[in-house]
Amino acid sequence: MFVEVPIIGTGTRRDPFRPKLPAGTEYSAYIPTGKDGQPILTNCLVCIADNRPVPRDGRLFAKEDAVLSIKERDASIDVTKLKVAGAAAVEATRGS
Amino acid sequence: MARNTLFTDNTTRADSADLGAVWDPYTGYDAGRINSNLIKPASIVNFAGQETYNGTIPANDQWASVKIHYLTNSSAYVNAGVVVRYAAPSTSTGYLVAVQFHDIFIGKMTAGAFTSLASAAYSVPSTPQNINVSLEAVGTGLEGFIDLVSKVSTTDASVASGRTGITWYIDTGGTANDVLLTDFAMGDFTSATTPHRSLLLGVGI
Repeated sequence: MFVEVPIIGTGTRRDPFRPKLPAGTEYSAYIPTGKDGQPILTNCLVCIADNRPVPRDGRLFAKEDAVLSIKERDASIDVTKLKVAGAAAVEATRGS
Repeated sequence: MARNTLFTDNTTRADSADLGAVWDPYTGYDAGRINSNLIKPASIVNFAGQETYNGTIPANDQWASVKIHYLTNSSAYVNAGVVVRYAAPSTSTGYLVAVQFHDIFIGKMTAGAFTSLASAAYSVPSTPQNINVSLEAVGTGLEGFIDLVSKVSTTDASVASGRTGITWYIDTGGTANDVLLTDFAMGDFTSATTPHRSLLLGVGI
């Protein structure tokens, strides 16, 4: 699934800019950076395994195919009102 | 596509304080040296070390690999791997893949700032590991391998071309013996479709 999470780190080899995810989470992140290497945004989009819990401060990304793929799996899910149990601020809205 | 090797360095040569004329160090990063036919950090001043091969600059679709002969599991935090599409010294911009003790990750250096793009779990074998870590950059795709088995992948469109090389990190408290590398290789890709697969057609009766 795709999740929007905060970017953490200071940009060093020891403490890279990275998505705020629980330790050990496998991910692929999309973190656009400027010419100075600093992240342009404060949040980033990550792809993590579907069987992982949505991070507490994560937000299901809703403006890409991720939401549509959810609906394809189960057409009864109203992606405009999606809530994830146990996640504090997770919601999804239909992408424009 | 299949890997097309353009350069190899088995590091079999006399001990030297320098990796050789075809290798370039970077200001602000530790350089490598040859010791007992292995690459080891020449110092641990900057903690991060890297050198790039200055010979053939491969096509934009390129790969690099190195054998991690030894990666400590009992000292400081360390990681090691290779870089691709890397800028010439002393601009630290490009992609890297590195192995650390619980994962393998792909990262992007931009003017010295490091961003982790992808991470996957990986249990490093006991020492000496002698594992081959490699990174392929094809178009916007980046894929990291251990012993030619894909472990981690992602996409990024920031850097289109550059050199290949080696990289490592040894944190405070580590020693120059904590990362030992050898058997660097780099290249581009041939258009041949490999692996060649045999198609067996049968006609029933």
